[in-house]
Amino acid sequence: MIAEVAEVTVRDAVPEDAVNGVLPRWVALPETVEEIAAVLRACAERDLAVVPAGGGTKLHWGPPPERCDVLLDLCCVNEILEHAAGDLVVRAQAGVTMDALAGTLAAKGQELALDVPFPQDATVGGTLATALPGPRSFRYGTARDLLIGITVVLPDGTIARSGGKVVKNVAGYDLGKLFTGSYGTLGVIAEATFRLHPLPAARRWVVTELDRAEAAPVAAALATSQAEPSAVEVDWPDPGGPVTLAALVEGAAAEARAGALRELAGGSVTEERPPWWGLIEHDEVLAEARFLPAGAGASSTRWPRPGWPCAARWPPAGCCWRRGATWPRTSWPPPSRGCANERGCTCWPPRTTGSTGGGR
Amino acid sequence: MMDTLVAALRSVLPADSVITDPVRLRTYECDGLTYHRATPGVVVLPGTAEQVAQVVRLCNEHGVPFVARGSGTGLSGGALPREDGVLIVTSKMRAVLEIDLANRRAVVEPGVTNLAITEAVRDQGYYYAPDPSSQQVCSIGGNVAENSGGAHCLKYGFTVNHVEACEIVTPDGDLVTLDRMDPGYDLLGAFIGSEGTLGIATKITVRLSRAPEAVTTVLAAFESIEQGGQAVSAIIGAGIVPAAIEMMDALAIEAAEAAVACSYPEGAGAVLIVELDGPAAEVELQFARLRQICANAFELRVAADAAERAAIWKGRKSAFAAVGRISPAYIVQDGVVPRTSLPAVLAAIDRLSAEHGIRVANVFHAGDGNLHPLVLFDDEEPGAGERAEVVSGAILDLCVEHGGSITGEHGVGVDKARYMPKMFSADDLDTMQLVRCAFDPRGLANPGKVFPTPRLCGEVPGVRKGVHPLVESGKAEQF
Repeated sequence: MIAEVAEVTVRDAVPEDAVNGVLPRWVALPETVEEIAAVLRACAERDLAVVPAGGGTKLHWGPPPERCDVLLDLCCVNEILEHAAGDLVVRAQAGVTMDALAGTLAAKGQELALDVPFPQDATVGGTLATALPGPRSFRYGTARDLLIGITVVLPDGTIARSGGKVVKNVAGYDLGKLFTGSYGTLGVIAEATFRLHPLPAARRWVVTELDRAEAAPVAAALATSQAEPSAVEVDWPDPGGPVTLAALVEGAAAEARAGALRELAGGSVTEERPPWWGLIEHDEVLAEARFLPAGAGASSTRWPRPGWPCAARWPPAGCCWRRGATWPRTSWPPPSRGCANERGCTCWPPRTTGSTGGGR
Repeated sequence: MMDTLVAALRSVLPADSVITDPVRLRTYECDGLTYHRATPGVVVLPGTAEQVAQVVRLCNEHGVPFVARGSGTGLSGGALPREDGVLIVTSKMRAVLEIDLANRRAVVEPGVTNLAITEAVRDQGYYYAPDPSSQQVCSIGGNVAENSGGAHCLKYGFTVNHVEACEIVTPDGDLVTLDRMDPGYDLLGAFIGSEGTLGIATKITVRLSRAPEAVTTVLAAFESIEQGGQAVSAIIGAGIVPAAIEMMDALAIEAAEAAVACSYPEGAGAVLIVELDGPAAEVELQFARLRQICANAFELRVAADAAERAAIWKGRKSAFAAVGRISPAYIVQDGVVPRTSLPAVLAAIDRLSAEHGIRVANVFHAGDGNLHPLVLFDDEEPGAGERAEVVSGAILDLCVEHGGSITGEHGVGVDKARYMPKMFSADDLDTMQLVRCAFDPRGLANPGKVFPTPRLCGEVPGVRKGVHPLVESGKAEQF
């Protein structure tokens, strides 16, 4: 296949490569933006359907792809291109894992304020493509709010950029917004530039257990407090049981601010992250609904209400209510991925020369 | 064509909402960028979203372009009318429709001014965060079109980070709602900042922010701009994200002093305004650190109350208009560089200034590298305007060279469309054009803005395949 993509590693797919039960024919492992473009161009010319993949942590979400001829595995496009600490900006390639990125940034006392699930495997590209926010999006916004520049490859192989590497920039359309949350349906995210925040000097959680009726007004009071929590989260595993409410404060004065929140909510102040905090147990999420913060008082029988939009993303400014029911899937965890290139990841399965042509 | 359109407009709008009188039309011939002017073919003042939709549908039926305008304070000519088109002015749509503090949001019509939103909720302890300098008059609809920022966007972000939903009239006249909470593509994010080329916002749901517990505003005077710049780097390096960090150079201070007698410290080579806000305990710690960082400032003033805070901001907020006191004419530029490039870029601006004999006053949002050089010239002096243009354009070149942007908050509009190819490749622009054509296939929504070469959507870029035959045969080169 794809003989003219001679410089790109391509191998035959194996059963572990299946996307939600749909087995691709080939797996392409580009290492540069140009190689991504070469693969997409070649596929477009042959009418081959492409599914882009990062760490594979959310690849099976949603319905299976209608077609998948080529799995475009971006694990080898994994360079952190520039961390301009003085500018609070980082530019990274799509295949960089969120943990690797966090490690680099933390060395200079900074962070990308997105607390995404599965950061060990989740990648920059996949994080953007799925736009799944974590609890702290309440204060910092979601991926689209922290993304300031993007390089994408369109299905025809065109490489396009928008935004840049400065936070303040209104030149041209913001393609980053369109690609964030597009689940790979508009093209492939190849590189991204984010605005960063200083790592908070300290963190405190205020954790309190409440009756259901108390939860909504207390959550609202916490969320609007001038102690400025970074997140307010609810855990309610048993619909007949109590509700646990937790608020996070971050900063040098976290202890004093947490004290102010405890005045509102009761409970205790801790340095320990609650075990359920921001956790999506692998595949146990049944559904997510978005509602306005004041809707948090609705009982489970009225939720979701008709007209409330449901999506695989949770609300940017509300709480996420997770029901206890699980819907286990069979294929967790996904195979670990990576390549044995100079940037130090290890591919799974080991890289092989494509048996039908190409490869090196 | 225009006559039949005007008759049709009169059939759907009240009589006083359709303006054709040439004298009255002239009121609308430019926005805040006054050196681009055009008399609109007709001006309409719709009072409802449905009327906006009807106007746009009529424009479609007649194949006539339309331009939306809010308060007309834009600085890039985004609301420059078309002589062959309709100017849709939202000034009659000024209702605050709903304030929902429980959900921290307000729903407003596009003609509502930015500041009016804050004024409606201030007593309850809330505010609308983006604060462009023109906030007393600029409209929220215009803010959405331009993705406006303001002095405090260093910490709080731009319009796009504070708008939850927009009802818009699409370029073919449909009334639809784009909501951040909707599943699917983030069309709201793409719409905001599209400068009226993807439709017209008719109802806007904004996020309201809780007023901070404490605000500390500091004015630090330094002997030189370099010292001020070092302080900015040290603040960021200390992990502090102030609400705002603004800097003015000696010439800008001189102008502000002449205009509003802001009494900034005498002899300052640069003043820095730093505003810290947030929980009181946090602000107190940050302020202590800030004092250490600004140890080499020769004067440090701390506002004790709201009146003193206003006094500190007075000079900065009046800076643009103030240069009128020291120069007969001036160009307000808007460019962005990475913050760490500020010293190099300011030095290069100095060189440009000396080389062309054109004075440049620098006022900028130092925290995010957003420069607003004021290029001063005497329009009576032959050739001075041209030289000022050269300097102004060269400053944008500097911004692009340093990896920045040709506009941080004023927009591309008609003014900077020609600079877009300096920042973006043909493929980048073609891809943006695909978005344009998805919304506006007939190219009727604010044509001629943002993009340098307006294309018809029939000519939408195909895939570039291989080398152009002319290049291959050696008859042409691509740059």
